[in-house]
Amino acid sequence: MTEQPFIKVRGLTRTFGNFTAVDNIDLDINRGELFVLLGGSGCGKTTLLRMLAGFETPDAGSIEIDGADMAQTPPYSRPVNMMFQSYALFPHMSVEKNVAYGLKRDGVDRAQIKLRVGEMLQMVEMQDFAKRKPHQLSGGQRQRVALARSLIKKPKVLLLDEPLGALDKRLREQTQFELMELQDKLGTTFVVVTHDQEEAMTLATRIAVMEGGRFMQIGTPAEVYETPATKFVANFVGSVNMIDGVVTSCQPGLVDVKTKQGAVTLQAQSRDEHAVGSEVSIAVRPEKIIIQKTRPETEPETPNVLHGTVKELAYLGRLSTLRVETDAGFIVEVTSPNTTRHSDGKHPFEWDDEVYISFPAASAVVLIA
Amino acid sequence: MFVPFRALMQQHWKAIVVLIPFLWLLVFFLTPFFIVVKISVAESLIASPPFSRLLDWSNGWPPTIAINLENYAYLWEDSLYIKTYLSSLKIASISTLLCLLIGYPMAYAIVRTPGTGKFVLLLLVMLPFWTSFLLRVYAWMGLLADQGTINDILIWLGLVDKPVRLLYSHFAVYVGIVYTYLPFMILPLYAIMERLDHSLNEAAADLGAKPVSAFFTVTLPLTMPGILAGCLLVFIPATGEFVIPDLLGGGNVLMIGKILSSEFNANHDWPVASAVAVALLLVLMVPMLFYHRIQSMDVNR
Repeated sequence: MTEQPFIKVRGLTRTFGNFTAVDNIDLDINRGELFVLLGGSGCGKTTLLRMLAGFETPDAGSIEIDGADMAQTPPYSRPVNMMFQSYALFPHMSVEKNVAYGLKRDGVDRAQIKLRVGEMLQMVEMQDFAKRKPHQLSGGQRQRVALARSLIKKPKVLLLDEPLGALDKRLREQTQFELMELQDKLGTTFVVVTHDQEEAMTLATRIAVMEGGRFMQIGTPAEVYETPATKFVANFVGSVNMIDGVVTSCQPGLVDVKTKQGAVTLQAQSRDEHAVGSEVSIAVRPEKIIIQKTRPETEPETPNVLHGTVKELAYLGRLSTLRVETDAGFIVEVTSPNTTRHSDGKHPFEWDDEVYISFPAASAVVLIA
Repeated sequence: MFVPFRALMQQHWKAIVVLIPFLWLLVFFLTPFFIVVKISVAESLIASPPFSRLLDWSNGWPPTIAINLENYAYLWEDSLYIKTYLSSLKIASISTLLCLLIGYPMAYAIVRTPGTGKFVLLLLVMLPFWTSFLLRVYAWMGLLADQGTINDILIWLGLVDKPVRLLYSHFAVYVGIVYTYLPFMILPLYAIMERLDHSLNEAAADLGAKPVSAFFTVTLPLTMPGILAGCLLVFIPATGEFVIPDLLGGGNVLMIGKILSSEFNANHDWPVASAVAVALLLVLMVPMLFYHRIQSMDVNR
């Protein structure tokens, strides 16, 4: 991309006493992106967001937004608005006044304020609640007001701190799509902080997975999910089977790994070179594993076919999760879609069933750390 | 016996819980108040007790009721009383304002102090209550007197060559009232600021409010209940304050508490003293009702 990044972060660091919340981070976010910072609590994602908003002062490094350095810019002068996790709606003001607050501070004239507030409330479908106070609203309505309030000044960047965290599951799913639609319509650059990997996958154009104040991986949802860069990312985004072993051969594109437990050979695709004898892990997503009662009709020496018994079984409705103990000794988690209806209560697999599990080498990833 | 009591508690516990303070007020506030009202409409006598009876039984049944409103008329006619009421209200108002101006930033600073420092500061605010109020006022006399500590220091520093008149002045009374009632301002403010969500201030800043603007549009309105409660807690007792103007104000400071005391003790005019007290209560009802009204508005919001 030839265009300069819209948000340019270089060497950003923030420490609290002995604790380094954000550790020498570089980040480029493009105009119009819906960028998600994903990580567990204490990973530094919120601190990073607060530095973008200007609530935290970096110990080192720089932030540029649309070409302007933000170091000397206080929060009230930044072209950035934030939607707070708690929404932080002013309890003593009506919905209307909350939304108008930002425009009033900028000295926009009354008629203009009224017009823009009306439009904004229309957009988030809260026009009927203009006179209500925040405590008279439901969680979902408050979320909309908070969103309207943070968008009214047409910020260059909208920061959202766990925007859907306080909503229940069903509302959250619905709101995710509304948020994406809104972002698409306005073209504003969104930076979202979340700990919820599903939310991140749904919303993001790109995800940055954070841990210990650093980025573990930055990429599209598909990149992060299908080719995780580290064990941490593989584990954090979705569930994964991690099988430890030692590299026995590395042909171009294909790596053979002898598992530590049971010493069976597994094969995985890899673009990287791996030295024979180095310790690696093979990562396979549970849904990429095929489970059958009979041995798949392949050559007997085909790798990645394992025999085992079903040890645990969880029926989740649209799919079932099975934990299979292989003859080699390690346990593999497999999800199997329930494509047919089993109204008699019988499942295709039961406890202690003998099964064969298999996965193509292309479905597995070799991870070092 | 035990079971009916329990059943009674279960059915009527709300009424019982309300009844106890209600009875307390009836016995220890309302009854004495009616006695004071009764005395205030009596005539002053040189007798024991030194006032006439409300019901005169000397002519047998029915008793004659003797209500004498002259004491109130006297309060109205003698300009001293109205002047003193106004002076009391003025001193109480200015003291309340001073308490607010000092107490508000103090409460804010305490709330924002991290860790255990907060509780140490809060303890320091309440510490004066551990010694006698009278003793503390006497201590101020020692500090403010012509030969007192403050004048000694001023002379030693060479700032003045003879003692400055500090004691027995309005200044001394303000110092005394502000010093005494400051905790009553700080504590309700602290309580409300403690509950204030700091992210509201951040939201205001984020939306373009400079610190001063954020204070006036967010912090101040949200701490208003604490300001009102604190002002009331200072203003009401300060208006009727007797010890501070008596000990620190000398003869120069007119306050209604002092008048009341001298009517009662020096003049032995119980009816006028009672009328002064009843009138004071009526004067103080105004801010109380105002506060109550605002509070019920708050609830309805």
